Amino acid sequence: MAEAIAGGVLTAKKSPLTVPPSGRERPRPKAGLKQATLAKVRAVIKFLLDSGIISWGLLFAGWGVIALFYDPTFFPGPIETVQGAWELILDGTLLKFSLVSLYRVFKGWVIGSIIAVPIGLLIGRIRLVKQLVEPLVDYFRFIPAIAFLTLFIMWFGVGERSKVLLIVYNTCFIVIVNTASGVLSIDQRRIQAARTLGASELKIVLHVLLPECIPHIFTGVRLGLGSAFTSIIAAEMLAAKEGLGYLIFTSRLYFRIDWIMSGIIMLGLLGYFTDRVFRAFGRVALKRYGISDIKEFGQ
Amino acid sequence: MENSLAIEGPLARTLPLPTVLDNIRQQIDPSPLIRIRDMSVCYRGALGDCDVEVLSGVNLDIGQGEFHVILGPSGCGKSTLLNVIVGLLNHTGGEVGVAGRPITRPGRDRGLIFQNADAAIFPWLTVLENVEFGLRMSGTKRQVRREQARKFIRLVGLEGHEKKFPRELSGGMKQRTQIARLLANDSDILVMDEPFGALDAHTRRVMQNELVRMWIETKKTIIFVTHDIIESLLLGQRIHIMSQAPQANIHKTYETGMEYPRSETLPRFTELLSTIQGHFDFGGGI
Repeated sequence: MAEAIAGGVLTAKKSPLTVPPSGRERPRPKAGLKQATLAKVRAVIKFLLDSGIISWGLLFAGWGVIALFYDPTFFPGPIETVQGAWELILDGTLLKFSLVSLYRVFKGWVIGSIIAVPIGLLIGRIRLVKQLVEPLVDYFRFIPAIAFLTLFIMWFGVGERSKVLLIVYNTCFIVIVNTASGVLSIDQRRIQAARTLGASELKIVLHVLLPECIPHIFTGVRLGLGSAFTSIIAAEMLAAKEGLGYLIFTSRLYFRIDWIMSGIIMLGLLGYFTDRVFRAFGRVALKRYGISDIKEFGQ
Repeated sequence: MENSLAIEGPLARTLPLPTVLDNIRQQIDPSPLIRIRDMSVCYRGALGDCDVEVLSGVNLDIGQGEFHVILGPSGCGKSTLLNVIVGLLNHTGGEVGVAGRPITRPGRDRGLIFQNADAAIFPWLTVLENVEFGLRMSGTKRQVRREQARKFIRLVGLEGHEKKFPRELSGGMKQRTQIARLLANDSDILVMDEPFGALDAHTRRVMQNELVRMWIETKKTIIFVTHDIIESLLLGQRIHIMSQAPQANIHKTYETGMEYPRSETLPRFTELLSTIQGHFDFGGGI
């Protein structure tokens, strides 16, 4: 029956009555060329939008226009900022400070995540741990790292330790909360299946719970990276001699707003590209756990 | 028959009569693989008292290598019974034993096939890795478990799909993966909870025939739960009809006594169909 209908449609399509005049169906070469260029232009616009170049262009343009109305020493435009940044690039400060900050962020972020994932798994798995730890997590995650700045410096000294600990503190909570919610949302049947296949409780955690939660953990760790970057400024504001936070905070003494701007832009760029790299890592290495990149619009 | 001579020895006169009779009974009818006696399950209320007695007075004997179907309407406590057999749920009264040992927790000898394969198989593992999961948990060497897994992937007809992830499989293939996973884990008893309920009619028919083939090839013991009467008649050697919860139990058991593969046109089939249908019709006595 279906074949007959399909066949009917096919013949109907072929009948001269329903086919539009061939001139319209096959556009002339010139029109084809025009269409091709139009398609190319569309593709270029799509690329510019997708890659964010247009957003950045608009931002810089807007910034430049606003800066026209103000004193450049007080509110430098993009050009003045680039000039200021150039000085910092030439004497190597920007690169050195960026690497120092990146290293601290990385250290704090990795340590924080390594501490937080097991805690999150335990909260999701063991009722007593949830009862004991969750209220504290829910309380402390609203206290930002910056509130502990002075305390940490007094307790852990002015060296690296206090700075890294501050970042660890800031990274932890979001990873804990995400991991725990991942464990709590796991389908119980999956655990039952593993149990009937002879998996011990420890093996269930390692081979079922952990892989099942990887998308949640991944999101948590990605958000944790953001938190780590936000806390680096606080960590470097006091008692630091290097780093982007130091640059941003100290430049005010020289009234170099362009340097402050450069530091801020550099910090954003570092975060942006670290996140890109981390996402690419997830997409490639953790694909089987259901990590795919952000979905296309409308998909 | 030789065994029955034992009771004619001197022991027979010294033992009390009931014991002797028990001995005879055991020798003639060896104890079944799964033995359920007067079993009940309560869902406990807040005070620890019996809130709802889902199952009550369930008796069921399942012999080695047999194919049993448990038939009953939705919500009659079929899944509860299965969970007790598998060991995921503890019964509150009576006895449940497998091979003479009481069941208290899940074991490798009893594998459960879930209705929803998506919830049961691991989406981050390939077909091969899913099938060898049980062996990996018990610490079998990689080479050995790979070989074992391949063997059962072939048996369930999934050859060539070993490297696929579950999201690339159809519903029927996912159920085949689940079955292979239990076979590879060397489970003696396959407990199946409406495994084909979510499949389309054609695939379901294919899978029913395939299951019979796998059962004959592997000689496993199968307990198959369904609410589909035709399915129960196509598959089971024995069909146990459950009454409605609360206090559900085995209402009646039918011996199908038909050769495989079966067809709906057999006189015995139509006869049983109408008899069993009678239980489920309005006011049909359940």
